[in-house]
Amino acid sequence: MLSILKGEFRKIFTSKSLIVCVSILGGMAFLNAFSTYLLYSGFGLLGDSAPEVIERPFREILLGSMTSNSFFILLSVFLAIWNLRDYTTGSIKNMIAKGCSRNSIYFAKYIVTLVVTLAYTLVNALVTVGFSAIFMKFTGGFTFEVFEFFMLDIFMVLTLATVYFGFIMLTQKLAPAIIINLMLGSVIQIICVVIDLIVNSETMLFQTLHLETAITMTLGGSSLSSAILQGIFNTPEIGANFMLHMLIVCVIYIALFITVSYLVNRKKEY
Amino acid sequence: MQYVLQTEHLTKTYGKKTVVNDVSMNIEKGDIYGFIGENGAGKTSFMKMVLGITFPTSGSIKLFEDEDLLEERRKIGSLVETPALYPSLSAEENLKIYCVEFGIDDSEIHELLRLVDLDNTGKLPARKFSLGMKQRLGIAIAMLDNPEFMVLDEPVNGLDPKGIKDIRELVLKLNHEKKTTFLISSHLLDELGKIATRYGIISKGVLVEELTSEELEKRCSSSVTIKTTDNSKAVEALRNAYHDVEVEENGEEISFKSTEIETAELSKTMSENGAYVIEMRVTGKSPEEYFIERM
Repeated sequence: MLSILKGEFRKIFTSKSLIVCVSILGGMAFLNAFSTYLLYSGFGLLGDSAPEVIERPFREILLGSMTSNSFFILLSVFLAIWNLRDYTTGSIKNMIAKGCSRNSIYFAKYIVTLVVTLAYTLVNALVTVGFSAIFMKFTGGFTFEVFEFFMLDIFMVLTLATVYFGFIMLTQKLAPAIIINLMLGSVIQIICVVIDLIVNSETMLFQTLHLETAITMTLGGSSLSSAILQGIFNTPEIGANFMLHMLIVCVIYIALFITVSYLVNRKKEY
Repeated sequence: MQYVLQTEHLTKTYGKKTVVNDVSMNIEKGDIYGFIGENGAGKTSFMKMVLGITFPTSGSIKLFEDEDLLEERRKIGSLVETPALYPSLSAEENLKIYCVEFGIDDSEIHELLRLVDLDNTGKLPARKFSLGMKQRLGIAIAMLDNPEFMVLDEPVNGLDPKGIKDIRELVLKLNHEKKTTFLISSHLLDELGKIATRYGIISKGVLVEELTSEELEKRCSSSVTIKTTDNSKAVEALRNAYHDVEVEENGEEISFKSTEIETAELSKTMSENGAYVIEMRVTGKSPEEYFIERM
């Protein structure tokens, strides 16, 4: 499996889509930082009333780097492109014919997916903080609590990447994989909202099953998040055990999607 | 004698359609096995099962007399259906990536590219290659790590006459020098006839016949049919004069295989033994005609 892992990394680093991804990531991070600056400086309409220095909590900038739609869209699209390269070119047949087992190929691709996602998330956070520092002053600092939630957010992003990977390996076709992954967030969110309304949940428990919403929840009460999100985060049933709750949700997601996609992949013919 | 490939009752069905039906095949080390069949006969489906790309519905496969197929497939090189290339990478980069994935040394890449006449392609990405160039790169990928057994599905597809000749010579060279075993499917029966040592004919998923190149030559050799004034004397005369010839009587006619008996000599032998030739005709068939008949 080690040689397959090396091959996967080599394919990513020789892929033109990596340059495109990094460029878009950097561009989006800059635009997000600049738009935040414009928002808090009143879009130049406040005149003398505009603050001289824009101050924002460091927590909001760092954890907020993972809440934009473009972050998830880019991730889902590029994971599909990288992982499915062997299937679209047919080189998966060469690998299997040369004695590479389907299991080794599957887990090598999964490991690379996790590594790439982690790098993507960290680079995105770094670039976002870097660009934001040009326009804003940070308050609050990098406390232990911020670190804890940053780690949790990374784990939730890795879980989301696992879900994307699961659908990628189930379809093994580029267009369906991208469509499903792009629509996934919206579909799950709608389902969660409906369930919460049906059960009349004050804590809006089921919305924590929508990982992208859950990531937004970690921004906490000092963010731009609405009162509802602030309320959710501070609700005793979830707030106090939010971290544990989300860790369990993520583990269940990972176990479910890896198990199903692994079992289906074992029997795939090409 | 070691067997490189052994299949027993290998079958593949998709729903209600059986594409490979109870195929039992043995390929010995050093064979160049020509696999012949019409379009849709089951050649590619069979090869894909041997390579693990698809799973048999029933039956068994052994490679190098071993049932641990994953391990033994490391000794195989293959080109099945279209060449699988990374389109944005050059020929050299394609081979390098496969070397990394297969965990093998890449020191022979330049020699391989020279052998398939792709050593001057430089940085040209594979998506800009012609069909023939892609096919040759696919063959180069199959040759990585000096495989002991090569499974090639229509390897000369898209190649010009020089390319076909080059691949033929390469196959013969590898077979003679390194005892590489080949399983080759092709529609170019004449081409296959120049290199194959054994043949398997498959039709509608069934392995109709296997024969060696010597057996094929015998079956395609000229057949002489004569009518004489006294067939019993003619048969006796033939058997006495030509001990190696098998004579068959079919009613009023006598047939025998012959590539070397001259017409004048035959007439003289018959008349000396009291059987005069009334009618004579010579028939023979090409390997192509033989295969088409069997398919």
